[in-house]
Amino acid sequence: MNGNDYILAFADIHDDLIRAASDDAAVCRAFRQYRARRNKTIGALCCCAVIAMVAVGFGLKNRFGKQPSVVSNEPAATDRLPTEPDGTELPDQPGVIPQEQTSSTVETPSSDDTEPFVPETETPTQDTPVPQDDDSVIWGDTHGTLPSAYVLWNGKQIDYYLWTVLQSDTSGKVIAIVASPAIDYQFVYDGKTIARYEAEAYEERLLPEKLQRLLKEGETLKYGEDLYTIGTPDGEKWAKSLYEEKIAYYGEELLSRYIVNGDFLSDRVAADIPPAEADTSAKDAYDKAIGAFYAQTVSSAASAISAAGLSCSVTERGALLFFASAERFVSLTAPEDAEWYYSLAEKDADGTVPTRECSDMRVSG
Amino acid sequence: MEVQPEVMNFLQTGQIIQKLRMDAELTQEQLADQLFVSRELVSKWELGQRRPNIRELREMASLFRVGIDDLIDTNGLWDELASCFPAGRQLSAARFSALLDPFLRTLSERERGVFIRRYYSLEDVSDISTAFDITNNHVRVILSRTRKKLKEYLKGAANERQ
Repeated sequence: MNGNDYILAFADIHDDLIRAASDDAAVCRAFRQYRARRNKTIGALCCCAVIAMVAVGFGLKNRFGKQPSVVSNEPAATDRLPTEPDGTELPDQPGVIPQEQTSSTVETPSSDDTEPFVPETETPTQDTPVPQDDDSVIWGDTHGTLPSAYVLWNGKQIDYYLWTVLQSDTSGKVIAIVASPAIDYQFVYDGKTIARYEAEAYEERLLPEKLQRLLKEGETLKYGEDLYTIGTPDGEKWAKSLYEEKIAYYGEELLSRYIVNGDFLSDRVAADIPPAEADTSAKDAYDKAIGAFYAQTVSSAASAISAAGLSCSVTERGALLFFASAERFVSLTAPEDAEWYYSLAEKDADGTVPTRECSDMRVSG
Repeated sequence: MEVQPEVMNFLQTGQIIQKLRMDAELTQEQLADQLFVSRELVSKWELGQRRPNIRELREMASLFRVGIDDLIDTNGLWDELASCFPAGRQLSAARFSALLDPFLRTLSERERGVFIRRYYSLEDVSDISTAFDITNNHVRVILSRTRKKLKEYLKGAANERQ
């Protein structure tokens, strides 16, 4: 074998392998998944080692230290509203935050101070109107699209920027907070779950690419199972796993539309590509379903929070913007119908926050 | 600044392509048309900003009627692979070519990506590590493991033929 032989061999690598290797995003994703799996395994091994060491240490202590083991009757700690024995909430220590920043300056109220978004019978004693004076409101800096980690703090999932503010002295000020519900993929809109809408939108997005690929692979795929059993007339033979991978990718329904009686209908595939590229109906339906979910979830919370005396509005993205002091925020309890995420609100570049009145969020039907 | 041998070779390939193109009295656009690539890509080859892949080199060699080795010095690259061949057993070029595709399909997406970028796209280790957001060392480890796998695969194939 000389250099020329190597070159000729590598020049004949099948196109689909070259394309896959050139797809940086897909390969990077594979690396990320690999790293995540590896870290998880290492984490699990470390946990096992620590547990084993603690168990050994505990055993030795019991054997030689003459310290009786104590079994607590207290319920196990949960991730929502952990409390001291007297009912006082403990501030959660978010694991992703540097140690030197973890000293909390926000006083933690007793459980009696906790007020729900939905006040059951009581009328709030002190209303928080929409702040007019910007100096009295703490807004977030513009972080652009930088994602922020969420940490569990006093039973609430809050983002890092909000957490930072809550660790500082906020006396005399209110904080602009955005509350967003986690999407419930089992939420049913117009007879289908959001999970279903999402799957259909994903398929719709993939379809043009699938058709483009099918244009190139259809002439081979038309041989069906012969591809891995006896091979094609021109000698091409696939591994069964590759064949199954391809069938799973295209789906039997799609293939049966374009491979009929062993013939590949390439003209039909080519004709179907432009309409597939233009079709956004599934994406539109998904957006509508998400809109309905937000409308329903945020609407009930918005009404409740307004009734609780905190001024609020709904952002263009459908999240809930409200203003509360740190103490008031700590005492709020999210409605149980959704998991809520809180972040520090940011103004747009022009210094405004596009919102609409909460009353506009009523769900129809 | 010290020029890395691979970079130097990269630049040399561009200069060779430019010389051959001008000797053939072709514009960048005409060469691009003949190779079914864009004019911008030809320009990048000549400036040493991109390296033609194996297939493009093969087409170019055929067009200019030169050997591929005249276009690019890949000896070091193939030396890496030479150790994968089973000692004492002949494996023909045609057989290796036929085995390469099925071997690549046995690899994980990560291994395949790195291996193809190295030996088909002729990218150096640092380019691959940048493309896949991993360290140079990680790329070398993957290449080394993949070559070991290739060695085992070719060994199995050689035994199969006996």
